[in-house]
Amino acid sequence: MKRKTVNVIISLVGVFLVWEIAAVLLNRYFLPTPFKTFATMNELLAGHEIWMHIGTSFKRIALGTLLGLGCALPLGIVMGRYPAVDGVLGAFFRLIYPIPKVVFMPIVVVMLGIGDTAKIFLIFLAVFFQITIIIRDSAASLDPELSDVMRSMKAGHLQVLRHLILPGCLPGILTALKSSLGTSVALLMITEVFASTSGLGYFIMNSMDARNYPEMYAGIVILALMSALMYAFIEVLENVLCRWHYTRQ
Amino acid sequence: MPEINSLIKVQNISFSYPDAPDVPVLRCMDLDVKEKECMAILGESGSGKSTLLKIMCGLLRPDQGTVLYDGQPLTGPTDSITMIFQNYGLFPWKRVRDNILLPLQLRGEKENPQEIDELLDYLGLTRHADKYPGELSGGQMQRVALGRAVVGRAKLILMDEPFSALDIRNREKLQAFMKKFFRDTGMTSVIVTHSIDEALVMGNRIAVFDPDQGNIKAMIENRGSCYAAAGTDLYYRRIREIRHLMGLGEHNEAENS
Repeated sequence: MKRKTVNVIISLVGVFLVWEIAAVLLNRYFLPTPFKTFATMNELLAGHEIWMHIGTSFKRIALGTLLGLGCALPLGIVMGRYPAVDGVLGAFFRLIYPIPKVVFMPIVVVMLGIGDTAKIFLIFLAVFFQITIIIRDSAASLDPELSDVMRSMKAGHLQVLRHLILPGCLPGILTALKSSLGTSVALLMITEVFASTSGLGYFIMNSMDARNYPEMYAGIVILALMSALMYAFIEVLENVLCRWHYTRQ
Repeated sequence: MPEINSLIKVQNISFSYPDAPDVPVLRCMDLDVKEKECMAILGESGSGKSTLLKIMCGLLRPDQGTVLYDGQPLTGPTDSITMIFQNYGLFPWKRVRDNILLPLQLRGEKENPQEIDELLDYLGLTRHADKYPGELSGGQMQRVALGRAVVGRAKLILMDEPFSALDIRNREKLQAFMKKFFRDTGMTSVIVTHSIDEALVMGNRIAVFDPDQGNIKAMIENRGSCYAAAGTDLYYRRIREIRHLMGLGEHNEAENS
């Protein structure tokens, strides 16, 4: 077995052990044991309702992230390659980037309502600024010698984009996706708690309100698993598409 | 003896960078590279040699003067001239084979797999064809860059400090390989270097660059004995001559061993 897998198993066993000991020692209704939680989770996964919540949350994160990436990619590349554009837009980004995007929630809700659009838009906001900055930095730090190589071979703009800029920025893009995932999930949770009737955030808070703690914990574990799977998916993409990045002598 | 034609002619060019217009890097420079020769341009680091190569490649436009390639004014990059940069200019995300094939991909041409396999074999890269540049040694990367020049059907190779990143053993091996390569392919080459040894071993003419004047100070014929082979009397005589021209001190033979 690979060392990495062994490490994952060891840390999971560690977490469950601490959880089990805490639950047994505390022996309180608000902290069920991991076994109880996983038994509840199994029951939930055998039904339909939880899948609807999983699907809704996944759709919101995926759409917000893809939209953010779709807008950040061209803008980050243009800012990275053209200092004049970066000079103009950079000031705006420096102003907005450090602000936690959750503070825009009231404005977004007022403008877009409380439906899916507002939730997706908030995730988009968080992802967009983070990824734009990273793509801009990746595009700006591409080896100028390679630009000269492309020019010396009379490459057109699209060829430069395809052979130089996109592959050169790819490790940065995937790192940005990984680092923005945590922010997206946090925003998802916040937006689904607020005036929502679906999604894992709603399910978790609803279970808490109903004092159904095993379901609440099961919801949290499912949300954590969903995030971990998305993270693992990006890591697989990284291993497949950016193998060159890890093959330095 | 029939006169050998010029492949590229630099005529009266001057150049300064836009951020320092009052500091000319090149001033009224003339240079004439003959077909199938290997010219070494020798000068200190940062003296403007690389700028000259970029002008000869069509990547930079001179402020004044013209560059003639095959008798025609050079207005920009052309397929016939390729430049190998100091860090080899290989794309780290492309495997060796794809790096070599890039000129064809950009032109939308199909490769002949058999020809490519033969080229990889000639370059000693068959075993490395599916590796990324990050997995290669400096000498192997240089050979990939040469392969790309061959595939691109370049007639003139401009090389910027091609041996600077190599240790002495690999440098000597690559120098021997390059001499064979230029002989076999009949390519014309210009090598920019700050090392007198490299200029003597590689160039059949050596242009000594004067950084103060932004021009060529002297042209040294270096024919005979397959250029000046290291350690011979001719080699040391030429080293003394060049050091004198460059205003450097007395030559210590141990420096070049």
